[in-house]
Amino acid sequence: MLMPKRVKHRKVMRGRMSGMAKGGHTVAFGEYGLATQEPAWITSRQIEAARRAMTRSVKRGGKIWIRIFPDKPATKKPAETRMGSGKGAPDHWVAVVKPGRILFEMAGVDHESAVEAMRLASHKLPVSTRVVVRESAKEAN
Amino acid sequence: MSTARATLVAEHREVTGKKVSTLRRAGRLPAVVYGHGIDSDSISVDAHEFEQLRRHTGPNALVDLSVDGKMARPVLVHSVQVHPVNRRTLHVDLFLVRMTEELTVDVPLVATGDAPAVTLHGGTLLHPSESVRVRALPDHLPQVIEYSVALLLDFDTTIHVRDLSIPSDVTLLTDGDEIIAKVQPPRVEEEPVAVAEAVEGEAAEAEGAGEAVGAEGAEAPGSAAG
Repeated sequence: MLMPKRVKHRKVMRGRMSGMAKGGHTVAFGEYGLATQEPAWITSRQIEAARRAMTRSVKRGGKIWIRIFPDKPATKKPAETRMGSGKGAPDHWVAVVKPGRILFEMAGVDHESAVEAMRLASHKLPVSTRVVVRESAKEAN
Repeated sequence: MSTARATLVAEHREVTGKKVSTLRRAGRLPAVVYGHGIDSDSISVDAHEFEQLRRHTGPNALVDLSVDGKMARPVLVHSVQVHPVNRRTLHVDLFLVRMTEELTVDVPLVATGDAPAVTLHGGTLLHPSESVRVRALPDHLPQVIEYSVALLLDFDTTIHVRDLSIPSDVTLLTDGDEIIAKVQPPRVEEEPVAVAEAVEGEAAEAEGAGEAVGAEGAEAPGSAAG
């Protein structure tokens, strides 16, 4: 699973997810992109599950890019613990995404396969998504 | 002036800033026109007309822009801002060109034919770069540059920028060594690997919290599983 090699601070504040994606909202590497329509924290497990779903869907051929990286530590308090006593222990890593952000990209597969792979991947994610086609790929189709 | 060019009718606009959203609701698209040695002018164009124009002309096609019924002047669509969520066009930059002055533009590359490495060996055709930067007079700007991928016989062959056939009146600015097409070998079947990955995954899970989080200021061992 994706995670940073080293970080400056073990715990970070949660922050807010207002507004829309400021960058990373265009298909840059492949021909098809999966864009989120909602703001969310996407965990490294969800990213890995979605990647596997896409990889298995296209079986052979095709190339996949992961456009997000889970660089934010998320903490969790142990089960059955009373409230208080400070912030919980770091538990997993998340990527903060805002509406419009491209999560994955694909190339080298036909339109139907790409859409199907991304549909399967979107079921592994906590957000509603949309398939975006690169301008040049649109013209080619 | 050539009349074969597409025409775009625009109106001067005084509305600026956040209030342009009222223009968009009314079916107008805010735009700005500027050029070398010319003051910029805020204009608006019909959103539907602009979308039609974009669909039927290439990215480097010259367009005759007529503002408030005045004489048409040649412009290039310089940049288009798109809404990140609904993908609608928000704003357009139009560049007023001087027909005697050379321009630097990015020209898209179009691959033609079939690569034998894809059809015979099941590889994936990749385009590391999809455009090249060229310099030419506005009248001679190529809309696209085509190249054949039939030369890609195996996975070691690549097509470089220097292999492109560029028109004589166009100067290529992109480095000739840049790769524009190659074929990636097919991935091996993943099923046997999946078992190993699952085992690794469980192991990583067990190490999980402590390790992931004990990474402050130091490298987390065995962290690059993805």
